[in-house]
Amino acid sequence: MKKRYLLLLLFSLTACLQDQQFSLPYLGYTPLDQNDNWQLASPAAEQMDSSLLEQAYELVYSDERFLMARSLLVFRNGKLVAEAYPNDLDDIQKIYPIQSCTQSITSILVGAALQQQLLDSIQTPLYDYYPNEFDTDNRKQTITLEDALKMQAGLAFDNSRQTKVLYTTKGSSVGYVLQQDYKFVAGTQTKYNNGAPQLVSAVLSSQTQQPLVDFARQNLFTPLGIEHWQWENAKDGTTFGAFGLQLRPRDLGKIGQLLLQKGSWNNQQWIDSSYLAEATQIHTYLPAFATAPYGYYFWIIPQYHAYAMVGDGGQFVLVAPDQNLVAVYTAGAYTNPAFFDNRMELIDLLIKSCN
Amino acid sequence: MRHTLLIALLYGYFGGSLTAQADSTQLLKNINNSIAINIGWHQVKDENIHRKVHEGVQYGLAYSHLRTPKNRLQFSSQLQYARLRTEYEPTPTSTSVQLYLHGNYAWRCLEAETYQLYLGASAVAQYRFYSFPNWDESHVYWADDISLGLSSYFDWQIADKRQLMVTFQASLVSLFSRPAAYRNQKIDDLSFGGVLSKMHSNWDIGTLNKAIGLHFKLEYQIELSAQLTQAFSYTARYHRLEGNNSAAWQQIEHNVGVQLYF
Repeated sequence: MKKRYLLLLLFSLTACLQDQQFSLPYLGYTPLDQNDNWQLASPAAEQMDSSLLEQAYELVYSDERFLMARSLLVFRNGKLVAEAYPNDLDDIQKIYPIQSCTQSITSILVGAALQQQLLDSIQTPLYDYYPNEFDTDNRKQTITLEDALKMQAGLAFDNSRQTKVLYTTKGSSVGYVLQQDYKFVAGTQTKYNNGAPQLVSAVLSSQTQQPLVDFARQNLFTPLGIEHWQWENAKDGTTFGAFGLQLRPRDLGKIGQLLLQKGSWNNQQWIDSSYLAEATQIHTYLPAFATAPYGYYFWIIPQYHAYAMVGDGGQFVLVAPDQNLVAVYTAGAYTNPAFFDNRMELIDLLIKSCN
Repeated sequence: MRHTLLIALLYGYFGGSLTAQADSTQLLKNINNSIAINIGWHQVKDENIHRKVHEGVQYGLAYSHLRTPKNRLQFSSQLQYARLRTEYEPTPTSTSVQLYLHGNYAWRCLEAETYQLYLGASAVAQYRFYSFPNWDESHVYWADDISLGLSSYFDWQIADKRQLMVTFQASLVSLFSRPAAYRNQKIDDLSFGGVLSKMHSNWDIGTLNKAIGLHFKLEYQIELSAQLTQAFSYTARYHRLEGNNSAAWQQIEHNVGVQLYF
């Protein structure tokens, strides 16, 4: 009996948990037909270098810097040429938070409102849309829609502290953003934050007479055939402009393709093309992100004449017009940037794979 | 299935040689309470985040109330705190706080001059809260369970006023709560009430296919007086939960402690 307990003691003393491989075994990147209107093609047929593509997929399957990877999809010439779900094959069917890529969708919807002439100009002061939301600091009345789109509203909104308050506040979410101290003259200083897109969302709600989520359904998701999605509203009913949207990876590809097609889908213009051209130009640089070039909620990649939607977890939707290329990378979304910010390594490989 | 077999084998192994023995003495027969402090190594792998191990030093406090006139009745509570890190993090940034509440009743099945064996049942409530700010600063993580199972105690008097006690417990059926692997909201309600509410949501029920709890403790007891006994202990615990809509969670704890019975 005593020896048996000693054996049990030895057994327990040596017990420990082991790290496991974070992804499935390498399964390649050949897309499967899902009857979702995406035309499939091989990399060779679309003049892509398979060896470079393979390097990109090996990164997301087995490089520990990409341990939160959930999908990598590559579209060229309007066709899906490569696709993998290294964490779980079922991720192909799952909606997943795209985090701050949501901001780019908000920007696209500004283009949709301009296309329908629901907005006159992005130079209009926000005060004209919702004067009752402003406090007594009259200087804030000069903030324009464009200032908000460039993250230059001048308000002292600190993401690390105030995003959670914005998320939980029971009062007006726009009022909460606008009550922050006016630290800089609008249009002069860039501060990346989750408050400014809320101001933009409220403008769109005000002009379309509906929450942004409903406007998005009618003017973006339904036209593109995107059926599975979810977008959170603040407690006051205003859709979050900076985050809260969940989409499937292939549907994110449709958004990228819409951008590549300058806002046109099925021969109909849904987004103002001149606005999109402006939104994807460099308007400022983000000091908090190594002075990254920035448009209207799009991250600009000037060396490739390309741009991207970017979200936490290293997620991105790359649009490279010169290569007629769209790429989607989704990942576990909430990690410290020190663990995930390697997107340019993937983007370099994907763009260079285009012959 | 492998876990079920393991537990069945362990119980068969330790329970298989029970025979009637003569009466014996025990150190704790006049003692009803104990307090303990412990320190140890804590490992947790929550696949809702990823398949990497968070680990770090753990500290704990425990209190027990026990009665051992013939059979053994014990209630114990334990609070554990740990700071955890993965291999990617230079310093521990994650936190684990755990509260264990145990109740056991065991019958004396075997007695000899120098040892006794008790076999019985246990009820356990375990609350475990985790914060992983580097991986998910916006959501609450937890692994709670209320389990019923088997327990055994083996007391072995190795010298005058010296005794070894071996405890082994295993859960058989558990009601447990885990966060869903896919959450629809960007940020959980992180207020006290919100966290408490979350920690009592998404319940699942399961036996060994979904919920495993194993507890092993070795204790060296030294009688200081009729009313006071000191003990040094080593404890190992393993738990695994996997719900219908949550990924697998596993935890191993190794603790050494000092305990005072009074």
